[in-house]
Amino acid sequence: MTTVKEQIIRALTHGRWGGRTLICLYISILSGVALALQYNPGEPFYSTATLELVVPYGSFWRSLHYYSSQAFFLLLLCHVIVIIAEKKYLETRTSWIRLTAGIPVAILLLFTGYVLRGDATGQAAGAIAEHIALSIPFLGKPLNNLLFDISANGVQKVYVNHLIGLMVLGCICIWPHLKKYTSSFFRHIPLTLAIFTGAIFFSTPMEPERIGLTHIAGPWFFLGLQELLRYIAPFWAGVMVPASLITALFILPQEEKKQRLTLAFTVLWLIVYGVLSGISYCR
Amino acid sequence: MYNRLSMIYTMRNKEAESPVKQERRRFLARCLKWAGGIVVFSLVYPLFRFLGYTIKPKPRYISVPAPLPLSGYHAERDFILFGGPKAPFAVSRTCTHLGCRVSYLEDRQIIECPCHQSRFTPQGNVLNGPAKQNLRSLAVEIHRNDDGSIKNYVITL
Repeated sequence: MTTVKEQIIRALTHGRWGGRTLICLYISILSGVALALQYNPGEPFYSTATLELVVPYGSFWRSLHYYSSQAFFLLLLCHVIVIIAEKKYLETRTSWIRLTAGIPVAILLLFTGYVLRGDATGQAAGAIAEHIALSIPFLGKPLNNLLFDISANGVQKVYVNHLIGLMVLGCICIWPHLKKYTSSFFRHIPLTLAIFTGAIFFSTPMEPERIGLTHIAGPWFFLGLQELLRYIAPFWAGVMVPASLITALFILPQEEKKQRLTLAFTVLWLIVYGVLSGISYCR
Repeated sequence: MYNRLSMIYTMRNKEAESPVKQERRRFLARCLKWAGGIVVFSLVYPLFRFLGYTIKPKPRYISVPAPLPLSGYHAERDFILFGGPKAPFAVSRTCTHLGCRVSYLEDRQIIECPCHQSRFTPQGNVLNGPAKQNLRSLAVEIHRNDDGSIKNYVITL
């Protein structure tokens, strides 16, 4: 007889999280390509608004891209948590770092997607990201030139990176993993149907800029950082704090005692970030 | 058969190669690596210079027709123009904290940032943080009609 707790753990660990994540990524990429053919980075908000309101089925494709991307990120987090819980790290540190480097790339992909909306939230998120990048000593300017440069070039570079640069980087990170594990739509029919149904019935958020706007909440995964930026300098809040979590993830496969310490740090980090996100959400 | 032949050939080759030849081979390999490095660097450097160069945006002149609304201000995407008690003035809408677009709250007579709620006076002076620097002031040029009345305000960005 197995207990309920054991059954839950078994259901979670045998949940084919990686396969689900991959399916969502495929849907996100395909719908993203469709959107990119209509999107104009020269007029980001006008383009988003016309996609939403004028272009036939524009709202559906936008929603499909948005919800599949969100599902991809959430399932990716579940996948990583299950892998860490089961201690199924990769054999070498290098291959582990290469693979987990895909997580910050995924966050950047999600984030640049928000910026491309060109609405009040997107514009604010883009401006903040640019300032954070510029706050990095020595590397700030070239990094901003490469990734954002929104104040000089609008969303052009963000668009190119969202479509090509970050996608290529992400592929480099996960390619050995993709060669090893594959996934098929036929094995994930309920998930595929759920995402398509969600895209039909729920529209994607959009916040037009208006005079007298007093509060902008960033993307949900950015809320904690937005709150932190209130209290400490952009370099520490926007670079060092997130980098500490990524570093902890990179060095996770190690001897038992050190690993426990790293895990404790990661959990503490996530709790603090969760609290900050809650405060920011309630503002 | 082929493998055996190739083994014999390699062994003979190694025996035949004198230390001088081996040294020369190593030297040439090292030279080739250095040449490769120089070629890569000569490609990377222009790439970074190309990507790092920022083209200065053209100055923009935005015309706001007179008279201003009764509220005494006019908000555009990049600036807010105030009639002012003596002369008109304009401030940038880019927050000096992290670059979000600030808004003028008419009822409270303050400019506020929607991202982290930094507050400024209409003249752009910081009231409270996290922003530490005042908003950028912009030049306002007044164009007049022949009768001396104001035709429009031109703001340079």
